[in-house]
Amino acid sequence: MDRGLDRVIAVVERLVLWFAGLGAGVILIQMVWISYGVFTRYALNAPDRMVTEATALLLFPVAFAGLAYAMREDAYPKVTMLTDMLPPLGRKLVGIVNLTLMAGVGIFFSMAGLNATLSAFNSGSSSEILLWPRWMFWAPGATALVLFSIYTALLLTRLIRTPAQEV
Amino acid sequence: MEWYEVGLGLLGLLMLLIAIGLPIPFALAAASLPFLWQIQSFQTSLVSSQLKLWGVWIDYILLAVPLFVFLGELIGKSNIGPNLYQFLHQGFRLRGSAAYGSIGACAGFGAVCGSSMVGSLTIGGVALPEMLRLGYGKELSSGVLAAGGTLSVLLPPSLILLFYGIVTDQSIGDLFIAGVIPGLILVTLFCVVVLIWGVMRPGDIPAQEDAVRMGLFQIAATVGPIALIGLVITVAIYAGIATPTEAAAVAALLTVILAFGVGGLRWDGFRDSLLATMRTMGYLGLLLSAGTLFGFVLTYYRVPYEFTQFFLGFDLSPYVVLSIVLIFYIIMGMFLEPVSMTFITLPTIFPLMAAAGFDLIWFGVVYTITMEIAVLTPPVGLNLYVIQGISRGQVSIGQVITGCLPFIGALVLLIFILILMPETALWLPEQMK
Repeated sequence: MDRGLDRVIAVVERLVLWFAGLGAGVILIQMVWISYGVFTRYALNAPDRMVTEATALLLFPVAFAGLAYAMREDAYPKVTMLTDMLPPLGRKLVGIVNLTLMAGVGIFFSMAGLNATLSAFNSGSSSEILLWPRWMFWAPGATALVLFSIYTALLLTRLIRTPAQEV
Repeated sequence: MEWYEVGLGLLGLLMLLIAIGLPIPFALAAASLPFLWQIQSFQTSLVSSQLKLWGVWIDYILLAVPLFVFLGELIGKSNIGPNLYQFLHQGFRLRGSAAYGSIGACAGFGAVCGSSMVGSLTIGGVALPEMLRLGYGKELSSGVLAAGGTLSVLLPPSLILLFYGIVTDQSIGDLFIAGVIPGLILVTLFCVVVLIWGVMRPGDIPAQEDAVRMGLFQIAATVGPIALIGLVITVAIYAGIATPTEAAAVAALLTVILAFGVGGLRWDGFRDSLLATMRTMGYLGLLLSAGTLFGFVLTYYRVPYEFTQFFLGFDLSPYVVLSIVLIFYIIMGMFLEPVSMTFITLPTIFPLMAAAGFDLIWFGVVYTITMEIAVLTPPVGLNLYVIQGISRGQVSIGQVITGCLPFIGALVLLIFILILMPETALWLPEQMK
């Protein structure tokens, strides 16, 4: 059973890595596009009217694409001075509380993201300048939030099943 | 609920959650949500969260963050940073050149990277083993490198100044340029610390260093990339050629080319730089989102305004207010890292500083220096652990802390200089206008 859970976590972690990779790809696009925009403005005297708005909109999915990856890499800043002093069982219980809260926060933002994607699907464009559909930016953000929530829930399940001495 | 009930309740819950080891972005969100649900129904809170998320992230200025982070990671993963150190160390015949070289390399690195920790990690990774090999004292070696990282956030571009500008709605360009003279003074103060250290504890600095000297071509190859990237950022922003975001994008693209061309970057390093950027963005993504909820709850209950009025009611002198705020930050900095502290405390503190009559550009510089003291103070001093980690057991955390003390003194002295002579920070932005 635990081996099955580990396999599921491994699959999700691969997805997490892919999502981070997609976010990284968007950063490269932003970097090249903005640089090209500066070039056209000065060298060709033909400013790109889309670049500012479009690259700013692209930041939205980037902001959330690395959420689960930061979790996988244990990159979230935290203070463990007090919890390090706890016995194994105490550490496990605190870990469960923390992961539950993290999953709760993730689910709240996921619900907000999914709601926004659905309502954006009917509401039209992303800004007054660009007519790109707004849901196109919400959907990747919401997916990243859902992926994060699933990943956290899986880590929580694994922690609950792990004996306190091994935490 | 009264504003002080909300303020104390929110802060108390936040501290409790942080104390049990909940990562700070989640603690910020988990502390805010119960108070948000006091104001709004669950369904309404979902809608207002959507609006807040969209509002905070569709921001062209904020786009500079991933680009500057990527730029710093590229330099960290290539040989550009270490090469700069080799030049500053081997290029000059001077007793203590490895220590002075570390300071210079950190300053040069700071001119292209805005993260203190990346600065310490990159230069420290090459300089610390070299300094220990040459016979430098462990306290001096670790202290100079942990403190040297702080130059990255004072010399533009600076992520802390960028976040400060976003939270307080100040000009990012003005903030960046305001950090230049204090940054250069800090470089000088750090060099003076090394000089005095050499006089007081001569055994900590070897008389002879057996480092190989560099040829002119080698010097150009080591200094050139950093100088070029720094020049692009500085000239683009201050000559009004490009916005900070555009400067970040062009400089990042240039860094990719230089890192592959002359910095020895390989595909693995490039991929690692991108993933490291996404790792940082992952935590910033949630931190900013949670920070807006936190800010919304505080603002709804008028906590910043009422707190400012309450504080001013004591009729304290502005400098007493400033002292209290700085002491508060130094204590908080022992437990929280700077970016989290910026989003947790600044929305409440900056109206107070404005009401006390301080220029917010000037305060931005003072605030940044205080944040740098924070990364050098235990128990949660990020740079201390970075340097100790690099030493692979050769230097204890106690030695790193002891080594940092004179440099913390230099940072405190810089704050005094800024208080006595605010023009130190404000003169250059005024000249640029």
